[in-house]
Amino acid sequence: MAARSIWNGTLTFGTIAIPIKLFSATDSKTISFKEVRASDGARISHKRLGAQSGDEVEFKELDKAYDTGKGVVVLTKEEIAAADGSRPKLIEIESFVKGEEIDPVFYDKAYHLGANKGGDHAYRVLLEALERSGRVGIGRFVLRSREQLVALRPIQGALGLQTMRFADELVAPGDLDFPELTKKPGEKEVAMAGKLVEMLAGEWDPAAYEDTYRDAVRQLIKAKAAGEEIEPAQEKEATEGDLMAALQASLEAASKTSPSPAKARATPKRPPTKKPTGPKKSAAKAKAAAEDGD
Amino acid sequence: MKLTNLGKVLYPVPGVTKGDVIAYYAAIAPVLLPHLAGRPVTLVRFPDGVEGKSFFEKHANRYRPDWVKTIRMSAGKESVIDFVEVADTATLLWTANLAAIELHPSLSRAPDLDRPTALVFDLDPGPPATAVECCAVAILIKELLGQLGVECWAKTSGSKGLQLYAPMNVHVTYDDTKAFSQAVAALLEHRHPELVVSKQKKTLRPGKVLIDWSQNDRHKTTVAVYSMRARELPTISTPVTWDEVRGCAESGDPLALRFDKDMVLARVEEHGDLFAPLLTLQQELPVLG
Repeated sequence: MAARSIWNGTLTFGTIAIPIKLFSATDSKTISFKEVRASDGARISHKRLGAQSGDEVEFKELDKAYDTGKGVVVLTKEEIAAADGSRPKLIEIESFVKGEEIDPVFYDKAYHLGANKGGDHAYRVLLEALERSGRVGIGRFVLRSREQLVALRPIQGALGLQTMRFADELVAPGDLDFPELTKKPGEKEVAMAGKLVEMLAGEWDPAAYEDTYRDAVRQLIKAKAAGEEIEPAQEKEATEGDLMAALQASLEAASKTSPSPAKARATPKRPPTKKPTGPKKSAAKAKAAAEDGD
Repeated sequence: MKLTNLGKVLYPVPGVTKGDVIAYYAAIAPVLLPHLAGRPVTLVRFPDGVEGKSFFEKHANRYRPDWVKTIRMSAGKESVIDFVEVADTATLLWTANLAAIELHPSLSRAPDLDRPTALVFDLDPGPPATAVECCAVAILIKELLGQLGVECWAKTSGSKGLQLYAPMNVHVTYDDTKAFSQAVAALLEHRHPELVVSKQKKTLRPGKVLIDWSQNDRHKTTVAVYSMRARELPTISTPVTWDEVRGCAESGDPLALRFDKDMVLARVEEHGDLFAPLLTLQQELPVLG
């Protein structure tokens, strides 16, 4: 991972200012693919095309449009930049709250903070104070032209900054209408479930979990590079037995209810086999589409 | 429209030229076009003949004449493909002139491109099994569907296999047809393990017939009825009667159901379009369970 800082500025709270630099604390390991044409493996390039004209549109020609529901408002890059204001490069901590009061669902992307020239001492003092108090600094700063709500907290023995979601960005379970939340479970069941949880109690060991999907894709790439053929996974393999059993049940039911075909045909009339009847089918189709409503 | 290179030999063994291919498509157009109208069609082009390189062309050729109609279909989240719609003789001759020997339409018909109009089973024999075993399996499928009140029709693939179509022409989704056809394939494999496989492997199972149910998919295409095939001989994907299917199964002659373009034109004279029920017959997919 490149050890270059992605942002340099000043961390302030009260009258104290610490020059700091920001590093990403995470490194996505997602395997990235390049797109090629299936038939000949030719590389693909993406172009922005005018939806109507089909002409290529360059990046510098782009503006951003927002649909208000009543109409579209177009903003230029300059106008959007103006919305940031001219903020100084500051991370302003407004208060320190108890860490356990913050539900982890609020936390988003994590960054490491390093001290910039002359900030070493103050950095160490602040880190120590946060570790002892268990408190987390809450503040704001602007990263990539967007104001972020951030938490300042020790992350793995260093000062860390973690962007936070705003309260209105969270979806409340209540809004999802979970009927299972309305009834209280019985005490006995809860006690039983509690025992089960105890039986599976363990220590949190992040290294014990690996991205098995990524490993599988890597294996696949390795195998294919070595010239092996890859068998595509069968879809719905797990339910195949159920489907077959259901079909068997249908057949048994059909043979019991009547000696002739059990299900009445939707339209028993058969078209003549001599000539294709062009217009009719499109009428039938149009009807089907109309009923479907899409 | 100008037809070009008519003397170019596309099938080397019998010396069939592009002119012959265009003439076949012109003659078959009255029965073929109703099966293509409204459907996105993938062209399989053989500019250097059936022994040369071929390519699948989904995007309608950008140098198409302006009277060639297209059907727009979404392909993935944000992209669309404008397929050729082959609904008239002129367009059919234009595709033939592009050496699009094979036409592969979608199972969907515009405007409802998310729903299939038919259920399809593609029967593929693993040598030494041949069309004879395919016919035996086709009869098993026909009987099974018949018990559920669903009729189906057969056509040769124009290669080694056989394809069964059950018209739907009613509300039905690919999820429904795929699940149902998979259940049929699995049940027949369960009942006749010596004859049937239902799981696609990279190699066909020797002596068994693969019931390929996976073509019941929005993104898959199956060769059109009456399409020429780019095989050694100018064979055609030909509709056949159930008597012919039974006859082939009993005779043991794998070539009994091999028809070339001239035989197919004669058959259409005699029988009309054996696949006409696919265009109009409405059948419900049985509810399983």
